Amino acid sequence: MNPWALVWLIVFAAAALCFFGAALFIIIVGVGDLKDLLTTAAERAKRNP
Amino acid sequence: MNFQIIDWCILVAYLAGSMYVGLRARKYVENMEGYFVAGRRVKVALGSATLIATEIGIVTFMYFGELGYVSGFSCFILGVIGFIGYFVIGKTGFIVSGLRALKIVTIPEFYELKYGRGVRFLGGILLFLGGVLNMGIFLKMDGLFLTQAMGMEQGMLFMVMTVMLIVVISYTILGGMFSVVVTDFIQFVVLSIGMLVATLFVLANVSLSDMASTVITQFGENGVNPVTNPRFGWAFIFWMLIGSVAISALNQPAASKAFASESPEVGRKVFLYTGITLAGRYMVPMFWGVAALTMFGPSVNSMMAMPKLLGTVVPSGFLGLMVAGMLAASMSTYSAYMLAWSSVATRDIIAPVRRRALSERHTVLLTRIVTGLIGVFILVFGFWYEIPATAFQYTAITGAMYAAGAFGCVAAGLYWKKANIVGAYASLGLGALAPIGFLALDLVKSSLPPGLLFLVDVNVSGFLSFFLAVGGMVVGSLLTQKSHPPVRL
Repeated sequence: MNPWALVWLIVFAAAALCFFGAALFIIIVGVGDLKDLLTTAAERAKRNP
Repeated sequence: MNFQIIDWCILVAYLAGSMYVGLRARKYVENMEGYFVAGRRVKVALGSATLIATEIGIVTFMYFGELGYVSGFSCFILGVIGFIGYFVIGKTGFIVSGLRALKIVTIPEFYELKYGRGVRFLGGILLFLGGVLNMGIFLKMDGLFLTQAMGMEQGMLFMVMTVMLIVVISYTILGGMFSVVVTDFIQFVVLSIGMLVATLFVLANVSLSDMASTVITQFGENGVNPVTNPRFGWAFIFWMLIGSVAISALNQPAASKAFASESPEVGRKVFLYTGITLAGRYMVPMFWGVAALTMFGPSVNSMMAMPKLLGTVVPSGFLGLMVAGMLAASMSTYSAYMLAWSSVATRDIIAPVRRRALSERHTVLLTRIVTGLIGVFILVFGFWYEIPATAFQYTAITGAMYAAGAFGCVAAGLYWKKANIVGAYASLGLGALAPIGFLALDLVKSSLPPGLLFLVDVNVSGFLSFFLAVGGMVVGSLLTQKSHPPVRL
């Protein structure tokens, strides 16, 4: 295999792992953020009907 | 037809679910700030999900896939450059934190604070025109993808695209940024699964060593070296380095997500988290494009190759999941873009020319009308416009139309004490000149004298736009410090 092609494939593997790893983390933490956003919005709506 | 009943069930369930969630979210909109920036209460992970979802669409998959197909691994340099751009913003808060601290909703609002109402109006027009033209080709790209991946006929395709747009327009109009953020999160989950499914099936069907040898056979050194590749070169790399910082921070749909965050610090972190994923979301579709070259050879239409590959290697059942993921990516992009450009049209173009200020209710109503009009425009424009250069370069050049001038105005306005109104006008005008010249001259390319052909080189034009914008700001400001003293923020 051409050495530069190998380098790009390694860079791709690292980038793809970062993407899917970060996506998993964002999804897990983001559920909490979403609940928080909607809860505070609902409370505000109740206070200011 | 690649698409089977199980795939249709997944797709219809996804579209119906999006519509339901998007419409439900509108009940949380309590005022204008809620409509435009979700009450500025978005935290880091949710903000990152919504920003990433905004910046990934079928159009990005298509143009990165096309680049992979026509240039091999050398286009991966874009992922590295984009990562650097976001990382710089994410670590320093460059531009994003400064704008968020001013509690603005659109970028031209900053122009009025720093330079005056006229600059806001001109900046708003350029931002709106560049932005809407930029998204004009999205639907065409989506259509090409779906035709190849699903094996769908034109008539059916038009119907699916129209239904998708109606769903997006409905929840964006009614729920504003609240609906956009909530649906973006769901779309981020679905698109991540879709990308993973597609990548795993590509890896299972195309070997890495075959890909490497195909790239070398087809392109030689140009396939692995972006500097020698005639599509790229140093002008392109410099343009992208500057552009990745400027367009990332000053792209109104992306900036809106930073403005919706709960603090300038959260806005900065959203860009940092998003930056970590950036190289991957650029390189994954590029990788699919290289795999398509390996599987089909160089004779397939460059834009069709990648979706054709996915339609071939992803089996029924998973195909529905993958297409739902791709549509999710596009829907999140459409909703954020339509809301961003309609906000600019209402707040920065229409409102400043009215004698009486618009009420909150009228501002939201007008934004909803403009959102609907933009939806109609992209439906019509998307099906007839012929794209010059590659799709990636078209979006980059229309992006440069507003981002170059905006970069000069905002970066100098925030960080240079001598920036003034004359510099701002010069920056906006000169920044737009090169991209507009490119789009106009490209139409009469065959009759241009050889000495002017460099003006229709998309990379030179893109680089020139940033060079002229920054030059205009510096020269214009320095020459008129006494007649037009700078305003302090």
